[in-house]
Amino acid sequence: MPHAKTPERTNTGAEAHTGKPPSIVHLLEEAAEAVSHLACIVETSDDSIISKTLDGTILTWNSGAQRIYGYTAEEAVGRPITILIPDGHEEEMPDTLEAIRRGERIDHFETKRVRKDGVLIDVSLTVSPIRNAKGEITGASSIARDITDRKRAEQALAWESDINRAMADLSGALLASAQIDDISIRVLAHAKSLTSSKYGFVGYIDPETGFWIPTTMSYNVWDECLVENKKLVFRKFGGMWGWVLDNREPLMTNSPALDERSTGVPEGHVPIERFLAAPAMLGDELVGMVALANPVRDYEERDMSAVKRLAEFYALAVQRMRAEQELAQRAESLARSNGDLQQFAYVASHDLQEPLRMVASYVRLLQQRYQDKLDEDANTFIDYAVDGASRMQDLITGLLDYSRVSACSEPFAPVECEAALDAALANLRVSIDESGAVVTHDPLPTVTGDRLQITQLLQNLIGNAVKYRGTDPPRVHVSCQREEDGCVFCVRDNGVGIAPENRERIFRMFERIGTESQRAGTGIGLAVCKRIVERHGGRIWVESEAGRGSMFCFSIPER
Amino acid sequence: MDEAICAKPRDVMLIVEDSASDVRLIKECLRESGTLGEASVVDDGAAAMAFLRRQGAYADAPRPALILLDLNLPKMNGREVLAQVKSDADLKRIPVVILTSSDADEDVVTCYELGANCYVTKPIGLDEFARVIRSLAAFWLTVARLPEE
Repeated sequence: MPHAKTPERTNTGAEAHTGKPPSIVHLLEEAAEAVSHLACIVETSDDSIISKTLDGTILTWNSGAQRIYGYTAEEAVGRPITILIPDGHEEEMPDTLEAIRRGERIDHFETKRVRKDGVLIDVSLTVSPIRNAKGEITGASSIARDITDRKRAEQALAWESDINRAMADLSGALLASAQIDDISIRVLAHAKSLTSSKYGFVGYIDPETGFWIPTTMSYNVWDECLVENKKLVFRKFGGMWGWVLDNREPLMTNSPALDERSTGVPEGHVPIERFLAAPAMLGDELVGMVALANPVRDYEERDMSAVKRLAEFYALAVQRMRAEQELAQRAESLARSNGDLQQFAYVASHDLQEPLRMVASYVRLLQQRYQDKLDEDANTFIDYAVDGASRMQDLITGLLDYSRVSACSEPFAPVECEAALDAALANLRVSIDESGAVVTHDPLPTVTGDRLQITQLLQNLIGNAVKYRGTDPPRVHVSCQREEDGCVFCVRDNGVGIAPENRERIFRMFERIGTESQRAGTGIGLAVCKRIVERHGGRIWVESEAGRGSMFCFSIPER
Repeated sequence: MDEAICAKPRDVMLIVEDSASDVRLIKECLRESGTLGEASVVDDGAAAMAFLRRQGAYADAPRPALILLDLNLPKMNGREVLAQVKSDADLKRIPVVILTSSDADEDVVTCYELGANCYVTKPIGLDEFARVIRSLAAFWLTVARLPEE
């Protein structure tokens, strides 16, 4: 608003005290003073304050407008307001002027404007009608505030929040044990969306071959890519992505044609207009890469920082994948060697039986036929041979029983424990009768398991109770208690008992307590029991004191 | 007394067994029990079939009253011998006792399906072995009544 300052100034305050009516001159002076006052406010405002006619011609232009838009008042006044309107916002002005004609006001409308130097800025606009003395609308005042910095801060915040959301999604997926292919797809999706890229790929380096495995490619890459043998592309690292892999450094370019690191693209390849990639590193080791291309806009530093963060995350995912693979391989090789060992034990004990049967049979035949025909030494030697062969047979039978627990196991089915106990007692009839043992039991339940193995388990435990008896005739009681997650069986006896220090040892293979002459045993029976119980998912233990009997307990969990 | 029980032991038993020590053990057990008549021995499956069909070197072979058949044999295994005997109109009436170290359920089932008359796992101890051989010989050669040839 160009205006002239009134040169004369009088003392208005003194006259006000006189009580006389003010003169015209005085009123004019006062009005001029007020106008000057307002003009000063307008002129010193940081905001752009412009007035324009109803057809959009600029009438006044303050220094705020000059600062924001770059035009001086001389350059702007008389020109159409559209010089400030950038491409894509042409519709705004007619709409605004239409509203003004209707007497409406537009408050804090956020939009873009273009400066004299062509730079786009964000502004908040307030447009109000200007009325003449008769109240007719003759134009519009437009107050604009440059909010470019605020907008930028808002966008930076939104960006940060987008990245955080992406990282949270990825972390969740990794925690949920998603496969590397799934993680790769997610990383690519976030990378493309954060950087507005059209194409991209995410992949890892095969540690064995050193080949680059791009587990994901934007699907449209394959559709549009006409390179004949796509696999060949990834044997040797080439071009810009190869540079990233070779140099283990990120790369960003908005003009690949001018970048010396670019070797162009193979025939049929989608043209690369802009390129951004970051390597995924585990320490010094290159493990993968996130690569992107052809956004609708130029790549910026923040795109680079987002892709670096995604690449860091991707390295963790690759590390996780490798750890899982290694674990799986170890488990598999352990299972295999376990299986081999079991097979070996079974075959060895089975095949040893035949030659041993011959040795045992013929020394026994010697004993029978020549007992009294040779000298005393010969008798002793033959007796030792017969005894050794017999013990060897017991050991091998035990070993065979042990390896059969897993080698010849039946699928689990309901097992009536009373029937299993009856079968065990029938097998033990001779030793029970000979020892005068009394075996009693609680009502026994039905459990899920292997019938023959449950029978063998009870048979071994009751057999031990009878074998390791004290001076009194053996009394054995089989009890069963239902617990929360299954049944606990106990076989209690009045035998010799077991010293506390031996309670763990007795379940180990070939471990025997007591001297040979005291008790015949192979040290396999309880190892077999332990193996059977463990195959059923249960636990076996003993409660005992030397000389006071023992109680062997085992649990069979519910299935 | 029943005529069958009093009948004199049928003479010839064919032992199909490749282990010389097992053959001797069987013979010793039979001798001690006094039931060993004339036991012929062949040590592979093909020879067993030639013996039964009186082929080649076995043209004059006697017809056995009982066959003791091992399962693991060279040339032709015991299951094949069993299958051929039991599908041969002329031989299928001869009782076949499987005498093997295998205690696999699968072998037991297969052998009975193929028509074995009896399946016995070789006992591990000598005394038990002798007892089993004696009772097998006693049952099949004296107790059981078989068709007259």
